[in-house]
Amino acid sequence: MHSGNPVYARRRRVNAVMMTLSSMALAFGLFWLVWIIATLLWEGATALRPSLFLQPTPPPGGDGGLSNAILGSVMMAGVGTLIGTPVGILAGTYLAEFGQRGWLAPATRFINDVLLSAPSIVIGLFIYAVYVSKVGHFSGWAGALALAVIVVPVSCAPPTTC
Amino acid sequence: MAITFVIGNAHRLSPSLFAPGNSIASALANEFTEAVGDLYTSALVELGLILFLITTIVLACSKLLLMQLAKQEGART
Repeated sequence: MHSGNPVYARRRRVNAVMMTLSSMALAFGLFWLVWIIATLLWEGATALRPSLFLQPTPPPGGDGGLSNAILGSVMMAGVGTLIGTPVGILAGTYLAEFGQRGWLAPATRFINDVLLSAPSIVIGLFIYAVYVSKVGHFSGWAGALALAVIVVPVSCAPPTTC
Repeated sequence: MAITFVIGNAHRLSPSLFAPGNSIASALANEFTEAVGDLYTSALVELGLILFLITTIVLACSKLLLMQLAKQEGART
Protein backbone atom coordinates (compact mmCIF):
# COMPACT_ATOMS: atom_id res chain seq x y z
CA MET A 1 0.00 0.00 0.00
CA HIS A 2 3.02 2.25 0.64
CA SER A 3 4.94 0.97 -2.34
CA GLY A 4 4.48 4.20 -4.21
CA ASN A 5 6.09 6.22 -1.43
CA PRO A 6 9.78 6.92 -2.32
CA VAL A 7 10.83 7.29 1.34
CA TYR A 8 9.28 3.93 2.16
CA ALA A 9 10.94 2.23 -0.83
CA ARG A 10 14.31 3.66 0.15
CA ARG A 11 13.92 2.42 3.71
CA ARG A 12 13.07 -1.05 2.43
CA ARG A 13 16.20 -1.11 0.27
CA VAL A 14 18.44 0.04 3.14
CA ASN A 15 16.80 -2.56 5.37
CA ALA A 16 17.52 -5.35 2.87
CA VAL A 17 21.18 -4.33 2.49
CA MET A 18 21.73 -4.03 6.25
CA MET A 19 19.95 -7.32 6.87
CA THR A 20 22.23 -9.07 4.39
CA LEU A 21 25.36 -7.52 5.93
CA SER A 22 24.44 -8.42 9.50
CA SER A 23 23.46 -11.95 8.48
CA MET A 24 26.86 -12.36 6.86
CA ALA A 25 28.54 -11.10 10.03
CA LEU A 26 26.49 -13.59 12.05
CA ALA A 27 27.49 -16.44 9.74
CA PHE A 28 31.15 -15.37 9.95
CA GLY A 29 31.08 -15.40 13.77
CA LEU A 30 29.22 -18.70 13.98
CA PHE A 31 31.65 -20.30 11.51
CA TRP A 32 34.62 -19.92 13.91
CA LEU A 33 32.55 -20.98 16.91
CA VAL A 34 31.37 -24.16 15.18
CA TRP A 35 34.90 -24.86 13.94
CA ILE A 36 36.31 -24.55 17.50
CA ILE A 37 33.66 -26.81 19.00
CA ALA A 38 33.97 -29.36 16.18
CA THR A 39 37.78 -29.53 16.53
CA LEU A 40 37.47 -29.90 20.30
CA LEU A 41 34.94 -32.71 20.04
CA TRP A 42 36.72 -34.43 17.15
CA GLU A 43 40.18 -34.42 18.77
CA GLY A 44 39.05 -34.79 22.36
CA ALA A 45 36.24 -37.33 22.23
CA THR A 46 38.54 -40.13 21.09
CA ALA A 47 40.65 -39.78 24.27
CA LEU A 48 37.70 -39.81 26.69
CA ARG A 49 37.72 -42.93 28.86
CA PRO A 50 37.06 -43.63 32.56
CA SER A 51 40.76 -43.78 33.48
CA LEU A 52 41.07 -40.13 32.42
CA PHE A 53 38.88 -39.13 35.38
CA LEU A 54 40.05 -41.77 37.87
CA GLN A 55 43.86 -41.87 37.62
CA PRO A 56 46.37 -39.11 38.44
CA THR A 57 48.80 -37.64 35.94
CA PRO A 58 51.52 -40.18 35.09
CA PRO A 59 55.25 -39.48 34.71
CA PRO A 60 56.18 -38.76 31.08
CA GLY A 61 55.60 -41.83 28.94
CA GLY A 62 53.54 -43.58 31.62
CA ASP A 63 49.88 -44.54 31.62
CA GLY A 64 47.31 -42.57 33.58
CA GLY A 65 44.69 -39.84 33.59
CA LEU A 66 44.11 -36.28 34.67
CA SER A 67 42.09 -36.77 37.86
CA ASN A 68 44.34 -34.51 39.97
CA ALA A 69 43.95 -31.58 37.58
CA ILE A 70 40.16 -32.10 37.35
CA LEU A 71 39.74 -32.35 41.13
CA GLY A 72 42.04 -29.35 41.59
CA SER A 73 39.96 -27.25 39.19
CA VAL A 74 36.78 -28.17 41.07
CA MET A 75 38.36 -27.29 44.44
CA MET A 76 39.78 -23.98 43.16
CA ALA A 77 36.48 -22.97 41.58
CA GLY A 78 34.54 -23.96 44.71
CA VAL A 79 36.72 -22.21 47.30
CA GLY A 80 37.30 -19.17 45.07
CA THR A 81 33.56 -18.75 44.50
CA LEU A 82 32.79 -19.22 48.19
CA ILE A 83 35.22 -16.45 49.17
CA GLY A 84 34.67 -14.05 46.27
CA THR A 85 30.95 -14.17 45.52
CA PRO A 86 29.58 -12.82 48.86
CA VAL A 87 31.92 -9.82 48.70
CA GLY A 88 31.06 -9.13 45.09
CA ILE A 89 27.30 -9.50 45.52
CA LEU A 90 27.23 -7.28 48.62
CA ALA A 91 29.33 -4.62 46.90
CA GLY A 92 27.10 -4.84 43.81
CA THR A 93 24.00 -4.49 46.01
CA TYR A 94 25.46 -1.37 47.60
CA LEU A 95 26.21 0.12 44.19
CA ALA A 96 22.72 -0.65 42.89
CA GLU A 97 20.89 0.62 45.98
CA PHE A 98 22.98 3.61 47.10
CA GLY A 99 25.13 4.27 44.04
CA GLN A 100 23.19 7.22 42.63
CA ARG A 101 24.96 10.09 44.35
CA GLY A 102 28.25 10.91 46.04
CA TRP A 103 31.76 10.17 44.92
CA LEU A 104 32.23 6.75 46.56
CA ALA A 105 30.06 4.74 44.19
CA PRO A 106 31.50 6.09 40.90
CA ALA A 107 35.01 5.58 42.27
CA THR A 108 34.10 2.02 43.28
CA ARG A 109 32.62 1.37 39.85
CA PHE A 110 35.77 2.60 38.15
CA ILE A 111 38.06 0.50 40.35
CA ASN A 112 35.76 -2.47 39.81
CA ASP A 113 36.03 -2.03 36.04
CA VAL A 114 39.82 -1.81 36.30
CA LEU A 115 39.86 -5.05 38.32
CA LEU A 116 37.47 -6.65 35.87
CA SER A 117 39.67 -5.90 32.90
CA ALA A 118 43.00 -6.48 34.66
CA PRO A 119 44.79 -9.46 33.11
CA SER A 120 44.45 -12.43 35.45
CA ILE A 121 48.22 -12.81 35.39
CA VAL A 122 48.55 -9.45 37.19
CA ILE A 123 46.19 -10.76 39.88
CA GLY A 124 48.38 -13.86 40.13
CA LEU A 125 51.40 -11.60 40.68
CA PHE A 126 49.50 -9.75 43.39
CA ILE A 127 48.67 -12.96 45.27
CA TYR A 128 52.29 -14.04 44.83
CA ALA A 129 53.51 -10.80 46.37
CA VAL A 130 51.11 -10.68 49.32
CA TYR A 131 50.69 -14.40 50.08
CA VAL A 132 53.11 -16.81 48.42
CA SER A 133 56.30 -14.84 49.07
CA LYS A 134 55.28 -14.28 52.70
CA VAL A 135 54.34 -17.91 53.37
CA GLY A 136 57.31 -19.18 51.38
CA HIS A 137 55.69 -21.83 49.21
CA PHE A 138 53.00 -22.23 46.56
CA SER A 139 49.68 -23.71 47.68
CA GLY A 140 46.11 -24.43 46.73
CA TRP A 141 44.98 -21.64 49.05
CA ALA A 142 47.00 -19.16 47.01
CA GLY A 143 45.24 -20.38 43.86
CA ALA A 144 41.83 -20.13 45.52
CA LEU A 145 42.62 -16.61 46.77
CA ALA A 146 43.69 -15.48 43.29
CA LEU A 147 40.47 -16.92 41.89
CA ALA A 148 38.48 -15.15 44.62
CA VAL A 149 40.04 -11.80 43.64
CA ILE A 150 39.03 -12.50 40.03
CA VAL A 151 35.49 -13.49 41.08
CA VAL A 152 34.78 -10.31 43.12
CA PRO A 153 34.56 -7.80 40.22
CA VAL A 154 32.75 -10.31 38.01
CA SER A 155 29.98 -10.93 40.56
CA CYS A 156 29.88 -7.22 41.42
CA ALA A 157 29.52 -5.92 37.85
CA PRO A 158 26.08 -7.08 36.56
CA PRO A 159 23.83 -4.93 38.78
CA THR A 160 25.88 -1.80 38.02
CA THR A 161 25.76 -2.01 34.24
CA CYS A 162 22.69 -0.35 32.87
CA MET B 1 46.77 -18.19 27.45
CA ALA B 2 45.78 -18.24 23.79
CA ILE B 3 48.80 -16.10 22.94
CA THR B 4 51.17 -17.95 25.27
CA PHE B 5 50.57 -21.22 23.43
CA VAL B 6 51.47 -19.92 20.02
CA ILE B 7 53.71 -16.85 20.19
CA GLY B 8 57.00 -18.69 20.73
CA ASN B 9 58.39 -16.94 23.84
CA ALA B 10 61.38 -15.49 22.00
CA HIS B 11 63.35 -12.72 23.74
CA ARG B 12 64.00 -10.43 20.84
CA LEU B 13 62.32 -7.48 19.24
CA SER B 14 61.57 -8.51 15.70
CA PRO B 15 60.01 -6.13 13.17
CA SER B 16 58.33 -9.05 11.40
CA LEU B 17 54.93 -10.29 12.51
CA PHE B 18 55.85 -13.71 11.13
CA ALA B 19 58.76 -14.22 13.54
CA PRO B 20 58.28 -15.61 17.07
CA GLY B 21 58.07 -12.95 19.73
CA ASN B 22 56.69 -12.37 23.19
CA SER B 23 53.98 -10.47 25.02
CA ILE B 24 54.06 -9.26 28.62
CA ALA B 25 51.41 -11.69 29.81
CA SER B 26 52.95 -14.70 28.10
CA ALA B 27 56.43 -13.79 29.35
CA LEU B 28 55.03 -13.79 32.88
CA ALA B 29 53.13 -17.05 32.40
CA ASN B 30 56.13 -18.83 30.89
CA GLU B 31 58.88 -17.66 33.20
CA PHE B 32 57.48 -16.75 36.59
CA THR B 33 57.64 -20.18 38.22
CA GLU B 34 61.19 -20.74 36.97
CA ALA B 35 62.60 -17.32 37.77
CA VAL B 36 65.82 -17.76 39.76
CA GLY B 37 67.01 -14.99 42.05
CA ASP B 38 65.45 -11.80 43.32
CA LEU B 39 66.36 -9.66 40.29
CA TYR B 40 64.66 -11.99 37.80
CA THR B 41 61.47 -12.15 39.90
CA SER B 42 61.53 -8.39 40.44
CA ALA B 43 61.89 -7.76 36.70
CA LEU B 44 58.86 -9.95 36.00
CA VAL B 45 56.82 -8.16 38.68
CA GLU B 46 57.83 -4.87 37.05
CA LEU B 47 56.49 -6.19 33.75
CA GLY B 48 53.24 -6.94 35.55
CA LEU B 49 53.10 -3.36 36.83
CA ILE B 50 53.62 -2.02 33.30
CA LEU B 51 50.85 -4.27 31.98
CA PHE B 52 48.52 -3.12 34.75
CA LEU B 53 49.26 0.55 34.03
CA ILE B 54 48.56 0.02 30.33
CA THR B 55 45.18 -1.61 31.01
CA THR B 56 44.26 1.11 33.52
CA ILE B 57 45.14 3.95 31.13
CA VAL B 58 43.27 2.34 28.23
CA LEU B 59 40.25 1.76 30.46
CA ALA B 60 40.32 5.35 31.74
CA CYS B 61 40.40 6.61 28.14
CA SER B 62 37.41 4.44 27.21
CA LYS B 63 35.52 5.68 30.28
CA LEU B 64 36.19 9.30 29.29
CA LEU B 65 34.95 8.53 25.78
CA LEU B 66 31.78 6.94 27.15
CA MET B 67 31.20 9.96 29.43
CA GLN B 68 31.54 12.28 26.43
CA LEU B 69 28.98 10.19 24.57
CA ALA B 70 26.63 10.00 27.55
CA LYS B 71 26.56 13.82 27.75
CA GLN B 72 24.94 14.00 24.34
CA GLU B 73 22.38 11.30 25.03
CA GLY B 74 18.88 12.43 24.23
CA ALA B 75 20.05 15.64 22.63
CA ARG B 76 19.25 16.25 18.98
CA THR B 77 22.28 17.07 16.89
